[in-house]
Amino acid sequence: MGWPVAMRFVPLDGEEMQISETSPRSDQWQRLKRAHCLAPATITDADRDAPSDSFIASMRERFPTEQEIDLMLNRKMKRRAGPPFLDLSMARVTEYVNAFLRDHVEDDFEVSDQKWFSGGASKIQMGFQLNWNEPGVGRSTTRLVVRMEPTESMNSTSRLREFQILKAFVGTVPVPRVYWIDDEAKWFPEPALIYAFVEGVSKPRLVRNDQISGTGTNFGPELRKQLAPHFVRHLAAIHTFDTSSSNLSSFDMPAVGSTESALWQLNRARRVWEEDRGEDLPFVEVAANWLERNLPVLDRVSVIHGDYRSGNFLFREDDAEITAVLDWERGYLGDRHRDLAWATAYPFGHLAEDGTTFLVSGLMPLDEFCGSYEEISGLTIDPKRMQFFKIFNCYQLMLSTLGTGYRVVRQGKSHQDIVLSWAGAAGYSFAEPLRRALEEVL
Amino acid sequence: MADHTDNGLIASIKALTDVVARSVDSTNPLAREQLTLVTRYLSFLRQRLPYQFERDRFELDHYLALAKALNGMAQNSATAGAPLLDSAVSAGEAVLLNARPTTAQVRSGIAQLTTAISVLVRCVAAAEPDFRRQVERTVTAASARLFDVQRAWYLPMGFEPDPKLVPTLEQALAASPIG
Repeated sequence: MGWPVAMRFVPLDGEEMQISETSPRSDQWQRLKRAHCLAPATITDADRDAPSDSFIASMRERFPTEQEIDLMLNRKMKRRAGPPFLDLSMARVTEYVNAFLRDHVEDDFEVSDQKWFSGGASKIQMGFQLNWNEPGVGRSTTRLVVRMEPTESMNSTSRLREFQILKAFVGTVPVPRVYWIDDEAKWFPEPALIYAFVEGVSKPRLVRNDQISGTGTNFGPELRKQLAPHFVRHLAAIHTFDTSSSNLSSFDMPAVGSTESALWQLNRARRVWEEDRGEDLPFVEVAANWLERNLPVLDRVSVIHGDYRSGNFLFREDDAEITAVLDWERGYLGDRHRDLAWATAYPFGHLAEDGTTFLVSGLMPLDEFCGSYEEISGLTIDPKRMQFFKIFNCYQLMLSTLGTGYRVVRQGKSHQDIVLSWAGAAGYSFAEPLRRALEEVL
Repeated sequence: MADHTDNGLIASIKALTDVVARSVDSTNPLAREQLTLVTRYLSFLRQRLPYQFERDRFELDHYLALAKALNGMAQNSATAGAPLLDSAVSAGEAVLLNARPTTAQVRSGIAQLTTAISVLVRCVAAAEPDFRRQVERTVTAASARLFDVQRAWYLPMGFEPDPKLVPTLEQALAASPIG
């Protein structure tokens, strides 16, 4: 058994060694293997709290992933030793917005009615009204939202990707209209985008739900019946979207017929675990071993939303129309089974009133969801790939909550540290389904 | 013994719910959500503080038992992780032999064991398949008891889709460490 060809390892002394399947028992291979195996014993908390350039370089070399993600992770690690997140006042964010708009809006304008938005754990969001001379429209007032990274968050994701994908999907699925981006943080302290406010709610106002928005939302029997068809239809539209006429330059196109796409995602997760965690968890390493041995071959490139589930769409309560699909920050080009496995994950759903039927994202039974998706999209659901991504998704959720959540809170890097602390408790709710799934395949 | 620390937590929660909550800007959902979570976290802490050391001890027992089981397999192999595992087992046993180990000593023992077992699991990725399978299956099966404890610990936070599948914390802590 050799290592996957695409992986290279750099021991902490910095001397790079290229893995070769053709000489799996060479001295070089032995040294590589040893460096990787011993990493839990050689990387310290201090390396993670204040990463050196050679540490960052070794992570990049060991875990190659998509270029834009690589940039985001490098940025995160280079700034990690810096100061914690300092609470931003509304006045300060308004100053940033005004400075940005002065360089992007002609004529005079006025920003008013600012308010904070909650409901998300990873991004700072402030709503406001802009009175301006909108090109092609004239003097008008537009409700907008500025969305910005904290100093460090649960997901190191790209605003540029979010901007491009929101632009691409106008007219295909309901998305907020996106106006501007500051992807290099020239006007804002962190990369930011400004998009239109969309009316709607993420969970019903009258159904009791003690969880944080987005986990196990209980829509109630009547509403779920109406929302479920829209939920499936929009996912099918995302997965069958033709990317050829859109500008998705920040997305890497994986090769069909290879395991490249799945490997990029696995490497991203492994790198994040190596960079962020505060403890070693042997079970996580078992999962990583299995995933590496079972990478699926990509049969078709789809746009992947990345976080498609209840809590990440808005709807009107009066007619149950989905008004916006939100939170595209983990979007990428790859295997549709990633989204399918995510949307159907146990922690995002709940049991129906009969106490036995599991409802996907709190909306519909699993067999109905799968049948409806295949019929609308014309795409098949491959049980083998679903199995891989169910395991991968639980693995990734476990790493984010227990690894990244720990580091961000420890260093006070976000505006929602208390939410991340709370969400960290979900780590073991992902671990047990992962353990049971692995028990079946090992 | 009167538990004045618990009283302090009760008072903190009361202050937040009775006094502070009323003065939080009702138009600031972020502040309101964070206040609710802080209050709930303190309530969670009240429930769990009495079990903190038991939980640490369970983790030590769990990883020590797991490491011993794996050590039997690893010492007959050529795996690079074997010496580290052997030494972590000795360190863990030394903590248990101490009649009154501190929290720091228990946690240090856990850290040595988890590191050594993680190293072993990484090493077996490229090992002979039967050996690899034996190690991976052992870790996976043993993790059931650890996850029972962790899920029971965090159950009040409401993330479990079906809470009745999770044992009580007392049951989970009293169970055999690796089954």
